[in-house]
Amino acid sequence: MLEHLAPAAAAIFTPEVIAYILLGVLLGYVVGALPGMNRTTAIALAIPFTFTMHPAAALSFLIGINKGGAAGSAVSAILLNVPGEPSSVVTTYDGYPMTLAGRAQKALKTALYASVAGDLFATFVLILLAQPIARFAIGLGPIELASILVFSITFIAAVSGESFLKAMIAGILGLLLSAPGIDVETGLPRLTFGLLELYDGIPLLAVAIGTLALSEILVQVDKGWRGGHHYPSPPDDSAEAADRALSGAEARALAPSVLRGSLVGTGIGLLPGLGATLASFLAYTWVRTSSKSPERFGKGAPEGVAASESADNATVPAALIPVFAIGVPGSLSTALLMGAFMMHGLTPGPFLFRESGEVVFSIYLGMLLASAALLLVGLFGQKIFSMVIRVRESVILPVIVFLCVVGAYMEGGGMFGVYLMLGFGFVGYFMKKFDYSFVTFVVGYVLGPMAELSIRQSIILSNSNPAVLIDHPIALLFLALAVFSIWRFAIAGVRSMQMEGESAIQSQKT
Amino acid sequence: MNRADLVGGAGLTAAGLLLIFVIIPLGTEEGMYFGLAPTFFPTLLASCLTLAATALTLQAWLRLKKERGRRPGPIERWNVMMFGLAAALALGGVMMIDVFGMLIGGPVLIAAFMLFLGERHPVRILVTSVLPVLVVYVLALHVLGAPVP
Repeated sequence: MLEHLAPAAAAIFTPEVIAYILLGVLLGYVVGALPGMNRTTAIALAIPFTFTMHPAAALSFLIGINKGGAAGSAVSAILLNVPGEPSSVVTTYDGYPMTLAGRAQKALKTALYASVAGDLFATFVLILLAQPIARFAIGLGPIELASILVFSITFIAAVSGESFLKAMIAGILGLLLSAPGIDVETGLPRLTFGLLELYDGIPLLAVAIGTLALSEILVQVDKGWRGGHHYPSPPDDSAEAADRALSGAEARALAPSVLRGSLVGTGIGLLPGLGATLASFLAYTWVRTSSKSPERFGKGAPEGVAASESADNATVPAALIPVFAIGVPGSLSTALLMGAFMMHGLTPGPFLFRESGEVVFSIYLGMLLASAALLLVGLFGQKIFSMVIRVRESVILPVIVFLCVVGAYMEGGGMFGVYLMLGFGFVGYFMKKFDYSFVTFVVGYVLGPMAELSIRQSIILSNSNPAVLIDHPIALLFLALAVFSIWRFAIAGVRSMQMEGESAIQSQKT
Repeated sequence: MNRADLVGGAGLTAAGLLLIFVIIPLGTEEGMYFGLAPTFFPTLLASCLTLAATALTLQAWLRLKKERGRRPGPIERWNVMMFGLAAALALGGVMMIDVFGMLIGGPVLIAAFMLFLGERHPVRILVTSVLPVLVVYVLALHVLGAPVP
């Protein structure tokens, strides 16, 4: 481990890379602060601009956007009562009442310090855990890997969206999208229909930018945000010094809430599909129920802000643990980051540490630098972010549409990639409208090649005999968990159907 | 949503069957190979898609039978109209970029979207449509050395 440290530090501690990390955090912060925009959109749009960067710089820049986005979403939640992202909904519970009470600066500082603390905590957990897990994962064969992938997709489908079936369908469609191109085993072209552009498969950025960014713009347009947003202006913040600053005693009092939030965020971030929103809700509930004065919550308790923001930010590095260790993303942003890893010639998974140890440690250092940048950007940029959230959608959305076009072009597919991106944008709009989970769709697409290879190898190794699973207890465990997810959520679907039917009959009677 | 799920499920079932029996066999080149056929994985996925879509169709149909009265769907006529206009604008803008390049097509795309979103301030439209295009052009070509349309 230590032998990689010196070259990793040499790669990261250069003015150029530090500038990229700062820029990434700043960009993420701005996007996170803007209501309706999200960090996955920013990552998808930023990936093409990283092609010429050093892999460690590129990935640190993208992770910086992710971290900045998680922290920045608190700004509009606190100042406008409009969360920048769903994961900051909980921050509005106490953040906005603090703003109304003239303590906006204190709320923003609480959110910032909690975000940085949660982020740092989870980054250290990532550094400590990823390599040991990867060492263990090296021993896993294709049968185990195939069952882990099956479990990941079914579990993400089970916890995302209202309908398990629709989420599963989206995941299968994502996997199917990875099929066109040269077949990995036989070398024969498959589903290319004579188009040379499809020989390398469907470009990741056309899928990601289309389904995540362009479709989101179409949804925003559809919501009727015409002629600018209708959010209230932040109340005048003319509070006294004591209400603006966060004293040492106050910071110490918040420490247990931050620790609880960091623990919950790290735990939830590790698991596929659960996401930051659930983490911030759970952390908030835990801190409120363990408080001696729970009645203060919802009326401007800084502990509530600290818990939700530390949990939200802790999920970002924690979600990278399965990516680094076994090569399985559990969320949209990690799926995109995994795509970015592959575009830079790195293969996430157990062999990453062996084959690209130096780059991994450069990324670790880059992540720690991004945490420091988060603090700096948050402290010195708050006035700017308060202004940024007032920019009209009629200015932001058209520029993003243009960036979608440029981004899809830059991946190398030329205008073919741009037209594909448009197509995925239109499909993504309907997926969002009809609640087909685009999380499972994108994760399925990214995992497709690995899933195909491991499933094919498993079938060949086992001679198509399922009885060999008895000799693979880890594979059996994950398959059992996958079956449990399907059973649990299929039953939930049937129950909700029964309840809907009963309530319909009841309303008919009355 | 149940009506939309019924239509969506039926459409996806048909798409799954089309994939299994027409698209995958036609879209895969024949050749010598050992082990599993190149059509194996997509056919497996298309079969799973057909099964899941059939289950969704059945579920939606059963729910519709129990449901009394029509509930509003997730998409109204106004949504379709707005989507159609935005999609047409995006497609038109991309075609402009394709034909005339980014430096001409880019500002047109941005300005058209701004007007569509209700922006009427001429200076704001001019600055927003020209500045980002120039920044991206300089950044991509002269800093990153990346291709632009």
